[in-house]
Amino acid sequence: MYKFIIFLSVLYCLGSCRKKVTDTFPYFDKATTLNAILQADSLVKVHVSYTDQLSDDTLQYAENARVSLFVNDTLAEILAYDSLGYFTSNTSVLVNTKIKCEVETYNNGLTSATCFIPNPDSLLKITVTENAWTNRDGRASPAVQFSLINHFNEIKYYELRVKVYEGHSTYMETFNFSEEISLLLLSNQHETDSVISKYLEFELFSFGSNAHCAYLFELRTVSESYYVYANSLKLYEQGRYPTFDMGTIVPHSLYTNVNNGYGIFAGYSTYYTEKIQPQ
Amino acid sequence: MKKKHSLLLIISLFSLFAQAKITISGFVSDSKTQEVLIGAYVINLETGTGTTTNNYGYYSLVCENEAILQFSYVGYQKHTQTIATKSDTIINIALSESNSIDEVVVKAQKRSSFNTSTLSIKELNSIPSLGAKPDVVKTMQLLPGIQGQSEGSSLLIVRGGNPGDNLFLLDKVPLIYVNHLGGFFSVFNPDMINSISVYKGGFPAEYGGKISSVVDISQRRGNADSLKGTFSIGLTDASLTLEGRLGKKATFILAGRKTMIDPLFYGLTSALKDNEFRMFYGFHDVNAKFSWQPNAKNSLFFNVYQGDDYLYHESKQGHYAIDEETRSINIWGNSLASAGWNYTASPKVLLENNISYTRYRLKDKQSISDTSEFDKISQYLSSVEDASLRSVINYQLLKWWNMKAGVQPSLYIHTPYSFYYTANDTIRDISQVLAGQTATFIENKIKFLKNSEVNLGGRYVNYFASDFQHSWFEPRFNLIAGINANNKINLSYMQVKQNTHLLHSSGAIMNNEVWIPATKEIPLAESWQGTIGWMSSFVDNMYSTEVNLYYKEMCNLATYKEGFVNLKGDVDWAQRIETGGKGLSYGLEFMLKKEYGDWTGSLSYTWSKTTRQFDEINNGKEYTYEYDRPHSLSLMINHKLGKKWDFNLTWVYQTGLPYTPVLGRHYTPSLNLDYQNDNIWDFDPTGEEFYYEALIYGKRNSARMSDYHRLDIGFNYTTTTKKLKRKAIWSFSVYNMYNRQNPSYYYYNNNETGEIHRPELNNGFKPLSMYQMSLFPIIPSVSYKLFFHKGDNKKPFIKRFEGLLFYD
Repeated sequence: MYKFIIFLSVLYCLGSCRKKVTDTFPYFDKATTLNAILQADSLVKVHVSYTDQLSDDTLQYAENARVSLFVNDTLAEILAYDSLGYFTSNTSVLVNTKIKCEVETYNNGLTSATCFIPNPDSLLKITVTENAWTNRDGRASPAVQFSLINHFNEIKYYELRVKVYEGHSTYMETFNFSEEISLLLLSNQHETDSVISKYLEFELFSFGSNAHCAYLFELRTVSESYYVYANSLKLYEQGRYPTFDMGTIVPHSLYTNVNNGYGIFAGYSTYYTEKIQPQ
Repeated sequence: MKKKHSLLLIISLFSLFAQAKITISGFVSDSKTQEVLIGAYVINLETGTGTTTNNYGYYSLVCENEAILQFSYVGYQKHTQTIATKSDTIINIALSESNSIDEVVVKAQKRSSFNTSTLSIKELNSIPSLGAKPDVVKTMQLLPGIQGQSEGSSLLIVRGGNPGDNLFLLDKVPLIYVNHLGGFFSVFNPDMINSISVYKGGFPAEYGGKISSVVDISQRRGNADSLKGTFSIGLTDASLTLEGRLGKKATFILAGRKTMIDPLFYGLTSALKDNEFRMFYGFHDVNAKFSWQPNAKNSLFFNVYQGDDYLYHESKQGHYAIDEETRSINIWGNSLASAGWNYTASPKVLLENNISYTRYRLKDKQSISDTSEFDKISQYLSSVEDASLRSVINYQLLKWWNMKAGVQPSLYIHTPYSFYYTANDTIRDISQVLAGQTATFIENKIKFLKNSEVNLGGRYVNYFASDFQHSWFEPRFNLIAGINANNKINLSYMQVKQNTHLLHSSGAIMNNEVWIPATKEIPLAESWQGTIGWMSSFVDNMYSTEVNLYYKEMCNLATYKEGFVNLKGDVDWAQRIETGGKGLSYGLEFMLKKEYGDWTGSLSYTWSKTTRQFDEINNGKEYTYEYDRPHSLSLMINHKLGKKWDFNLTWVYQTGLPYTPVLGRHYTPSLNLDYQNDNIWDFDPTGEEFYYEALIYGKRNSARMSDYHRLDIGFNYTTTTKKLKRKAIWSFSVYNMYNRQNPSYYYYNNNETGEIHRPELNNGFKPLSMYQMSLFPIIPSVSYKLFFHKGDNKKPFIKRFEGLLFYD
């Protein structure tokens, strides 16, 4: 199919024209970008850089920034600059803690962000069916059924990932979640039962058969900022480029939870299953 | 008791009035072809009052026992008829075509048509177009308040509405899909068209079901004088039309169009790809109309339309030593069948009855077979079916009161998503919604003073879809107040609801239109619109001008949720729909028209502002509508250069479309999803994410692409063929004369070749710039149209055709 799309694109281009737009872009103030995806029980690693206009230069790292780390509102550490914009810590992130990061730079003042590292939830039950459904290309494809406890007293966010063992290769796959968009994301916001049960059909992009594959699942219990960012990242990438067959999708901005700056400061804790042989 | 007496008194008064007047009604047609003349004027010369013929060429006028009526129509000789009768009478009038340019002048009162634009086939043919063939929808896009979705598109944006908010009626029957070639052409064959009326606001109560516009197209009945036809060929398609008389009381017209590039595409792709890949694209449409008038009171007609676009490809490729052959065909288009019966029950009463069936479907069928054991067929289908009845009574109650009432029950079968698959197993996912609607309407056209009238009415509609039911009333009000014979002002108000939503993604140039029904979860779209207008004619009606101010609010609009561009792959399609959208549009429209003389033409200008707001889009904030163009101007000029040549010119200027600008860049984490080739993601649960440069967008649709403007010119050369002395027309046109590179869309990349750099694949930094894609450069076109008729000699085909029809 993609060859066909490419061919159509070539035809399209024959009768069309691309040119660089030399309009003056609106003025944009430089700001600090603070990014970190914190994993429970791992060392803190924060990425700090500066934003910039569209230009021929790469973005600059904020090497001289002062990066402070707070755990449950108490200053825990001043992070040291490592390289390539990373500031690292000797402190591991603990679950059920509130982590705050403040970045002070000479030009942009104080930038900060906070996230909560949730307790990891485990899967109650998980099974994989090898030939559960047939995809649009006619390939027999697997499905996974899993369940976990619904914590009614708090809004929880999850991400389910899978590692596929097919001979010597491993692949990361997407699911057709019955949530709003096709991401590996789930929230208990609209779940009414005490146990959340999901049945998900997914596809293997490899051309070979999915027979004799094994699967390792990771359930991430993620912070709200992680969940919102992951959703926005998917939409951002979809709207980033025009496509011939579907037309242009309106661009979508990435979510940020950084005060006085850009970036994402989020965290998660994990639960791994055993390697599962499908039924 | 008192009420009873009052009622009797009113009835008696009405009777007294009625006794003093008589009603003259009938049809106005061409004396030679017997084609009905739509919009012909009927004027009582003694009182100055008058009326115009409707889409069936029907008029009804109340006058004194003795009166002198004048019938006139542009391009025809006036006809004066003295009335001397004591009772209501039916008078059918046949006007003769004028040979003199002077006689074209119609200096009678101007047809009052606020918020409505009318186009005749003559006007349609006088506008230069892409492919040197006239196009109905493209011509409409030159009218004030009407814009195209984007360059080349036949989708209409009328006063800030959505592209799916326009009702297209072909002889009063709704047509659902109106595009060919992704919108570069419309499905309406100009050879079939008698007249077009476009209602942008102030809809008469007769019309409803779409919240933005009604495009009412009347088809020709066919030439009753002799068997004749046309053949034309251009760069895009070839078309053939045949029309004539069947017996003494029936006529027919048959027209078809077909692209000629299909085999060329197929051969070219085959040669380029060494037989490993072949494709073609094409479209066709066929129209047929049969009309029968057994007597002066009855006329019947039957219509058939079928049109499709198709995109086919086949390829052969190998995977892991398995040769795979893939065939895919996408088909999308309409089919329509209808029958109608008009009955003139009395000089005061005309009954219109129609029964119709329309189906639109978008189908994507794919078959794969390989040298192993594998064979499969899959098919995606989205369709809408509409079966309707329509019954309308026109009743000239009094001299000053014309009433129209009717009922239109409709049944719809919506299949937004259907997927069929067969190989070793058969899978069928189908999501179907049965819906129905009954619309009842009444409109009262009341004339008062000398040049004023008010049209007061409403529609009562009952709609159901599955377990959802809803009833509502739509008030309609349209006042035209004549200041004097040449100046009129207008006030109008209307409410409309719409039971379907068109889902489409902006910029999609191929089949991507999906219709969904209103349900409990997806409410009916609604709008209300108010307008104020002024119309004037001057210099003996040589010039006319119209100014309209409109304000329109829309609610319960639907669109795709952010991130979705189709319903494919999801039987639970409703979860992809964003509902509850609000829209606002207001603007000022101006039109100046030169109606006759050596030079004719028009100048249209619109200033408007349109916004949208959805709770889950743009964080719930209001934003500029994707197709908002504050300034829109079009200039049309036609000039006759002697007997054989005529010249036409169109210049269009529009503010650039809005887009969401990029303000800057920042680093963002990949979330540990490391893209590799072929979309296979390498995942390491303990690995590191990477950072890449992402764009920081400004407010949604807060910047504008560069302005759109374009000049088209055309020449028509009318000649006769040397041997057979047949009339022929050569049409030459140049689209985008000065080769303006108008932006279709903007995007960000590191090169202008079209190869996309994707930093999210962790392939490093490359500086980005903004690029624009333009579609249509300068395009010269030529088309040739040949006319033939029964009087021709040496036409074996025609003779054979006559024999087939037992033509007398």
